[in-house]
Order: sequence, then structure tokens, then C-alpha cells
Amino acid sequence: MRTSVGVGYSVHRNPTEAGNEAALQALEQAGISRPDFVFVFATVGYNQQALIRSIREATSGAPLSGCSGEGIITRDTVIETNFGICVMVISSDELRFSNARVKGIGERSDIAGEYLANELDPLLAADCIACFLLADGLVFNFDSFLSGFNKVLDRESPLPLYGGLAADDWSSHKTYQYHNDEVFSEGISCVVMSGNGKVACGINHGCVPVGTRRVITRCKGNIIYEIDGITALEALKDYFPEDWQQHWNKTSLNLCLGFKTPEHIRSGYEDHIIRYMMGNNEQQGYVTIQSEIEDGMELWLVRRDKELITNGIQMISRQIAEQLDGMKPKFVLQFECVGRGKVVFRETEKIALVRTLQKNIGENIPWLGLYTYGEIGPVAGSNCLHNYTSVIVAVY
Amino acid sequence: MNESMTGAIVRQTEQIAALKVENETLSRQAERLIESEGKLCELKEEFDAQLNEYAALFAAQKEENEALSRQVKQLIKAEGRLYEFQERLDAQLKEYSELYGLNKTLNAISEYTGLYDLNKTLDAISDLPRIFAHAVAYATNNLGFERILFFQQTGSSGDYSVCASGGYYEKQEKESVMALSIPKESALLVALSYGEGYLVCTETNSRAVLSEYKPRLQMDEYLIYPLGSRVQPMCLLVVGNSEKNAHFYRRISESEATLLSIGNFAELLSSSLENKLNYARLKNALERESLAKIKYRSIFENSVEGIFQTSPDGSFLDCNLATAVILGYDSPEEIICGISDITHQLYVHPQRRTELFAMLLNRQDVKNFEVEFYRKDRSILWALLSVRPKFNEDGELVAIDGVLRDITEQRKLEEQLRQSQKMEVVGTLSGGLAHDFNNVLSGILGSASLLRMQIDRGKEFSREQLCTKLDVVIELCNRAADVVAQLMAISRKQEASLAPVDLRNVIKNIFYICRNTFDKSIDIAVNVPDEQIMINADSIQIEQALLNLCVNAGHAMTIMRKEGDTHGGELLISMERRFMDRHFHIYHPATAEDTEYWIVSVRDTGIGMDAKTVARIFDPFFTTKEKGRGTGLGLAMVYNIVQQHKGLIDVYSEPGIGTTFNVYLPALNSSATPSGDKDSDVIPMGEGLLLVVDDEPFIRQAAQSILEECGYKVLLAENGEVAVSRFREHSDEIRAVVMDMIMPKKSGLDAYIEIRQIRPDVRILFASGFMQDERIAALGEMGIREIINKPYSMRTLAEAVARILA
Repeated sequence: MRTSVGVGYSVHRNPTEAGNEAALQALEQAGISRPDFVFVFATVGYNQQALIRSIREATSGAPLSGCSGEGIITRDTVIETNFGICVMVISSDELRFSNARVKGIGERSDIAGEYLANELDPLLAADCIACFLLADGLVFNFDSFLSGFNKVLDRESPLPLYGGLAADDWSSHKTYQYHNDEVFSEGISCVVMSGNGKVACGINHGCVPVGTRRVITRCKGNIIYEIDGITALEALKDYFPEDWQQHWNKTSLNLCLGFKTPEHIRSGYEDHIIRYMMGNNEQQGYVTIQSEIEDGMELWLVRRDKELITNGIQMISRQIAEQLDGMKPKFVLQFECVGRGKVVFRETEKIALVRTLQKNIGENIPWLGLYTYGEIGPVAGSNCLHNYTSVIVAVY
Repeated sequence: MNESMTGAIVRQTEQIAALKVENETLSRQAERLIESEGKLCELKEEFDAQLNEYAALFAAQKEENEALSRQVKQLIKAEGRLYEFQERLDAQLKEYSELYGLNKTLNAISEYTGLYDLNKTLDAISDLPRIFAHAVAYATNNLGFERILFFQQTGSSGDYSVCASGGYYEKQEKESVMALSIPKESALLVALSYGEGYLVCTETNSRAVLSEYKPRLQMDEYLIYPLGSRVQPMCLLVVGNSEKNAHFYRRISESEATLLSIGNFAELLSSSLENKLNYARLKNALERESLAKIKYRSIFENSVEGIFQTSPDGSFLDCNLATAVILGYDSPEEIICGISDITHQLYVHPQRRTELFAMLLNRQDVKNFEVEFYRKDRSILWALLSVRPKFNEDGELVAIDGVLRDITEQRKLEEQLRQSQKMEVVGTLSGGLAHDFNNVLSGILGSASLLRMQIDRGKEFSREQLCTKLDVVIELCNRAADVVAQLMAISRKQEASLAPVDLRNVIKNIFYICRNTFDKSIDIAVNVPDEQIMINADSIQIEQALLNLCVNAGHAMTIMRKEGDTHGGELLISMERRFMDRHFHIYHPATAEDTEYWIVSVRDTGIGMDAKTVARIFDPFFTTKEKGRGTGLGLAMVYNIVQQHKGLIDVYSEPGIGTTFNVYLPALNSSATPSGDKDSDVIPMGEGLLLVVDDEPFIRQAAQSILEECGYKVLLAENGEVAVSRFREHSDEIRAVVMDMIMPKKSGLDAYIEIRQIRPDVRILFASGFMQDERIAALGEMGIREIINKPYSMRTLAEAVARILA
């Protein structure tokens, strides 16, 4: 029983050369010429179609899934520019990979969830290990999606979902999802991993509350209209810089929202679940997040804390080490929030953190990561969407 | 009752006592109450005081909380700014680090190349593409702009062409941009020439000329930086973004960060490129110099032309083998050692070196100076010199560099060419001239026959009648003599003998010949000014040249026309005087500036020529005439003749329209006297005995009549032998001899030699029909200067005799 995995990356500006270079590196590292499956994470400066085309050519048209991110992560390397691509090639006689995709999730995430579940249903064998979701981070409503998804699958224990929300270059203009030859937006690229293997997962954010408890006094779906009886923006404005309208992404990074962790997952998690405010409406004074809320829910304003993040990395390492119980992972996928990259850490700090994590989990393990607009990982058996979080998935 | 009263009293007393007790109790209570009230008041005061204290504390706490809240908000904002600053700092550090890397790479290239080190084998030129490649890779991957172009100044035009590009990933885009060039004088670059450090064209704000280049560069926003000199940059660096992808890249702006970043890069490149280019130039210059030395040494040594350097005092400083060969020496060393006085050892006519030296001292470069040199064996050669003076800083002539060509053979060939051309013209004209001559003879014969017949019939004539008839004959004879003179002049072999000539006479002769010989379909017109047209010329040669042009014109209007085309046209010969100003001189450098020229124009309405033909017409042996019609030497000869007269010739022609030749001849002051013309009608008279020698009896008789008319007595001799005999008989009396050159039995020259032995101081006048005969040349060498051309007029003979007797 053997699984060969290789990872390559490129920062070449020419999409064709970049795709080709990364794919060939990966194949060389894996020692294979035709992979069973290909994961691709790339940033958005490239002509995406040309990029995927070159990878498909280099990997002999092997099934491919992936998405765009704000940056990419591989072994000892973190690249947060508009021109970075990393490719993971997998050849295995113990693991199987099937992929599917759904488009047009912007209108109704619940319907998209149903659609995708129907697509996946025939692929879900008894030895199904995990499902990786790579969804458009600009339009995705996780709770809505999950309700539709679970409704169709109706499993005794939920299918563990891992993944990240595709990002762009902070412009919130367009993200991309990849499925074989297709490059699209407002969709989900999905991979089902089955066979003889396990997943060890570590999840941690690094945020701390600022100030007292607040209460949502008016909301609908994933939109918060009022906090403590005043418009949401009014309640938050004092914490924003003067030019917050022009730099909403960065503004909402520095101050995010924390909700009490639900009782059923509290044992495996921290006190708060963090939510990023992905949008706002100045006229109506509301903000939007990536999951659903209800009136009367308590919330705290939270901020990132470098020390907590650093400590959280150690915690993730311990979590995974416990699960691995001495086994060596075949490969690792990392879904890292964009808010934990260059916008908070110095370049050297960031690389040091990633190296520490990689060293803790194991040397020479093929590693593929992405800076995302949202992270997906189960907590205490429940699938969750996270923000400002690092989700590390070690397959062993 | 008492009891009742007592009882009542007792009861009352008891009630009073009870009331008293109660009253006392009340009193005590009242006292305690009052006491408590006091205490209460005290407590209240104390409470109020405490309350006030707590209120103050609460207010202070609230204020502190608000301050803390504000501080937290500010802290969060500051944290955001800190993170932002941190991100920018990292980006800048990364850029500097990468720039440092590039600098190291470029320096490594420099070290490898070994700047200024000629021993290194790496070709500096080939390094430029490497520098551009590195720079493109660096800029594409690190500067953050989508596209980069390098333009390099190329070719003699100085225009800028793309030499390297990055960020153009579509084949079509790349091919298109690689073909792009910016003219050196483009309005785009004007601002740079006025000292601007860069040109910026942003998405929304740019000058029109910058916007025009957007599609050509395939950039919606760009920055142009000059590399090297700002005013005349050797290269241009262009970075920018396309409209489609601009938001993924660093935007073009005049922000400090952008300008600093690109400015650093440009400065680094400028320095590196300048070094490379300077090195390349230096290397090329040294190589060129080295090659030039080898080349020029090779040329110097292997040239068939003599190359030399002489000193002003007349010795050879250096010369090549060809110089030695031309001058008949075995080696350059023999010349350098053997010739110390060029003027007298080399020059046949030493005054020619004086003339040459005068021009050199006048700082003139002298070209095509023809001179006769003695070879080592004292034989004579014709040499063509082109020399240039060299002066030192004090303005003293220190050396003369020159090129020497042996043109002895060439001159012989030219003579042959001239001769054959003359014969060609003669051939062309002979038919017409024969016809003309026959007419004259017919006239003479007719007149003489008629007179003879009338005399035979006994008719008597008065003196006037007789003179009239004889005048007709004389006139006809004169015309015949003219015809013969023309023919002789044309076929005569001669050197250019320049003398003041009135061109009108030349044109008159030409007109006469043309009128009598050309096809009658040609209208001939002459436009000659009234004033004298004086030039310094050999009238025969000039006549020959102009006649040649007219003959060609005639052919162009007749025999050269296509079959079926109408023959004929107009031939116009005209003249005008023109001052050659600077403008004219620029276009006709062969002319002397600020000099007046006579321009003789020969214009025809013939078939004309195309530009290709015009370009070759003066080439020897080039002809457009049918085989047998032309030798191809005519115009070459014309060209040579005009050159010998320090003139020039140009031609204007259009196919189907015609041709105009303009011959420019330097004008002489019109006060110059044309040779052969005399103002006076007086024929000089003389006395004494003369011996006239001619084998032609009519000439002897004519000469006798003329000389006797002039007051001389005349002895006649029919050949050289008789002449010697007659002279010996009358040696003491004979004052002079008029001697024909070519005679049977003994030639005029032989006879003269014998006569001179009899009386060395004898005066002699030779008469000849072949003025340029070799024998005539021999006479010149014997010091005889008086020679007259036959046939001669009374005036010519009388004047010549008078001169030798004077």
C-alpha cells in the first residue's frame, strides 16, 4: 500500500510557465508521471484558464480540484502575492479521490448544498474519509448550504467537511474555483476522499474579546441590522479608521465579531466562534457575515492577538499529534485565514510560524496551503465554518 | 359616699400618680427622642457626606472607563495602522532585498566580463542582452508591474527599438511589441530632452502624446525612464500595466514609493548599462583601430598607387613600394635615401612644385594635380598627385601626405580616345561636308568655266566685272577652306592649348556645320548674346565637344527614333552668363565659388533618356545607339574636354520630351583679346628677299603674290632640295624663308636643318596643314615658334612674316 504525493510551486508571472513549472516540480517530487488526483491553489493575478490548462497538460489530464486564494503555502514557503501557484499531485492505491462541482451558489446556498449532495451521493462509499469543500468566499452562506447539504445526505453521522473559502487579492472582486478543465466563480469545487486512511485535524483561532457583551437586536439570515438598538455600523464605527469605507476588507480584519460557542461543540473548542464581516451597507447600516444569526444573540467585538495565534499553533500541533499517535501523515492541507497572514505578521514571523507548525507535525511531509476568506473544519463532530482560524488537515 | 368619694379620690390620686409616671415616661421618651433625633441628624449628615464621596468616586470611575474605552478604540485603530505599516514595510524590504540581489547578479556579470580587460574573451556586446534579460526577469517578478520593455538606440538613425520585453504572454502581443520603435525625434521623448527625469502616463491623467502610445505599448498606464544620459538616453525603460490586469499589479503613479522603486532600478541599470556600453564602445574602438592599422598598413603596402609622405624641404619621409615602382626605384628605402631634393630630382618642370607648394601653404588639399616626373633612369612619366598638407600647432607645414598615380598610359589612351572620337564625328559629318564641298567646287568650277568660255568667245570684261567674278570664286574658295579647316580641326590630334576664345565664333562654326549636315527635318536655332563670350579654351576641343553634343542631339531626333515615329525636332544652342554663388557651388562642387561661368546649352526635342541611362552616359563605351552608329566614346570625350577647361557638364533629360546638356565654362573678362582676332585692318608691309618653298604651285604663286603685295621680293622653290640650293645661292640676301613642312624629296624640316648650317641665324616661318603633327612638335623643341596654318590668308601670312623679321 503506497501513496505518493508531491508538491510544487511557482511564482513565475507567465501563467503557462507557472502552471507547468509547479506541476512538473510536484510530479518530480512524487516520483510519478501521471497522478491520480491534483489539488491546485493559486492566486488571482494569473490568467486562470491558461494556468489550469498548463497544469492539466503537465499532469496528463488527471482529475483536478482547487480554488484561488489570497496566498499560497507550501513547505517552508509562504507567498502572499497575486502571482503564486502550488500544485499537489497524488498517486495512491490506498486512497481514492472523486470530485464534483456546483455553480451559481450566490442566489441560494441551501439549494447549492442540495445540488452538491446529490452529486456526491453516488460517490460516497462506506470507506469515505472526508469531503473537501472549496467554495467562493464572496457569496457563500455556510449555514444555509449545510442545511441543504445535510437534508439530502441524511447520514447518521455527518460527513466531515474540511476546506476553505476561495479568496482573491482583497479586492472582493472575483474568486475562482477549479474543477478539471473548468475555471468558474460563485461555485464550489468539491473532493471526496475515500479508502484506507484517516484525517487528523487541528483548528484554532487567535482572537480576544474587546469590551462588554453586546446583543443583536435586529437581524435576518446572515445580515446584522442592529446591535444594542442602534445600527450595526453605528455600533462599530468608533473602532474603525476614518477611511473605512475605502478599505472595508482591512477594516473588518482588525475588528471582528465573536459569538458564544454553542454548547454541543464547546468541549472541543474555544469560548467564541469568530465571524468576519464580509460586507456592509452604509446606507442601511448593516453588516453581513458568513453564517446565520438570530435576534437576541449575544456577541462580542474581538481582535486578533498575535500571542494567542502563536500559542494556537502549538495547540494545533498538539491536537494533531494526539490524533496521529505517532503515525506520519501522507500529506497535509492547510486552510489559513487571510487575516492571519501578512496583514498581521511580519514576513519573518509568518514564515517562522508556518515552519514551526510544519516541523511539529513532521518533516518532509507534502504540504499544500491556501489563504482563505473562511475555513471549514468539524468541531466535536459538527461541521463548522470559521474565520480568523487555521484549519490543518493531516491525512494519514 | 365618702367611700365613694374616697374611692374616687383614691382613684383620682392613683390616676394622678399614673399620669405622673406616664408623664415622666413621656418626658424620658421625649428626652430620648430628642436625643435620637440629634443622633439621626448626625447620621444623616454623615450619610450625606459619604454619599457625596461615593458620587464623586463614581464620576471619576465613569470618566476613567470612558477614557479607557476611547483608548481601546484608538488602540484597535492603531493596531490596524501598525499592521498596515508592517505589511508595507515588509513589501519594501522584500523589494530592496530583491534589488540587492539583482545588483549582485549584475555585478557578477561585470566581474565575469572583466570590465576594460581586453584579455577577457567574453564579448561585451553579447552581455547587453544578458543584462536586459536579468533586468526583465527582475522587473517582471519583483517590481510589481505587469509589463516591462527596454528600448535601445540603434542604427545611424538613433531611433529606439524594443530589445527586451516581459509580461507579454500572448504570442501576438509579444510579436507586436517587439516590432515597436520610437523615433528619436518623437514628440513622446521631447520632455526628456528638456531634462524631465521620467514620463508618466496614468490611467486617467496623461498628456495626449503619452496616451497615443498606450495601444502601441499595450499598456493603459506606464512610466518611461531614460537610462544613461537623460537628455540623450542610450536606452529607455518602460514599465506599466494593461487595462485588464492593472488591478493585480502595482499601479502607475507618481507616488514617492513608486518613483523610488523604479528610480532605484533605473539608476542601477543605467550605471550597469553605461559601463557595458562604454566598455563595448571602447573595445570596438580599439578593435577598429587595430583593424584599421592592419588594414591601412596593408593598403599602404599593397596599394598599386604610390602613397608617400614628404617633408617641406623636399625629401621623402616614408613611401610604399608602389611609389618606388612608379618612380623606377627598387625599394621605398632607396627613394627615402636617394631623393633629397624632390623639386629638382623629380620634377621635370620645377615650377610645378612651386605652384603645388603655394596651394599647400594656403592650407588647400590638392587633388588631381598632373605633373611630369623623372624616373630614376631619367625617363619621363605623367603622374597624378593628390596631396594634403600637415601643420603643427604653430601653423608650420611639417609634412605632405600624398597619393601618386602613374597616368602615362592613361594619357596615351585618352589621346587615342579623343582621336577615335574625332574620327567618329568626321565619319558622321563626312557625307554632309562632302556634299557641301562639292557645292563649293561646283560653284568655283562653274564660275571659272563660265569665265573661260566667255573669254574664249572673245567677251571683254571691264575691271569691275572681272573683279566681281573673281570675288565669287574667292568667296567660294574661302568657304571651301573653311570646310577643310573644320575637318582638320576635328580630326587633329592635339593637346589642350588654352587661349582666350570668343565662344560666339565656335558656335558659329558649329551652327554652320550642323546646318549643312543635319537632316532637314531638324530646325536649328542659335541664341547668342551680342557681347563677346570670352573663355580660356582650346577652341578646337571646345568646338569638338559642342559639336559632339549637337550630333548626338541630331541623332536623338532622327535615327534613334523608333521606326514609324516622325523624324525631326528642334535643336537650340544658347548661351548665358551666370555667377556661381554658394548655392550653385554646393550642388556643383566642381565649380569655383564666386566665379562667373558661361553656360552653353544644347537642347533637343529628341527621344530623351531615362534616369538610368542618364547616370551612365559619360561612361566610356556606353552607348544607346545601334551597333555601328556610335563608339560610346563621344560623351566621355566631351566630359574630359570640359574638365580640361575647368568646367563641368550636366544633363537634364526626360524620355519622350528631349534632352538638354549644359556646359559650364569659366568666363574670362570680356576685355581679353581672342586669339586670331585683330582690330586693325592694316596689313603689315615689309621689304627684302624672301624664299617661299612649297611643292604646291598654286600655293607658291599665292604666297608670292601676297608677299610681293606686301613689298617683299620673292624667290620660289618647289621642294626642300631646291630650297637649300636657292638659299645657298642667295644666302646673304634672303631675310627669311617661308617653308612648307611636308614635301617630296626633302621635307621642310630637313631643308631647314641644312639651311641653318649655311646660316644659323636664318629666320624661318613654317606653314603646315597639320599643326599638331609630330614634326611640328619637333620644331618646337628646336626653338621654332612661328608656324602658320595652311591655307592662310594674306593677313595671316603677312603678319607672321612681319613677326619673324621683327
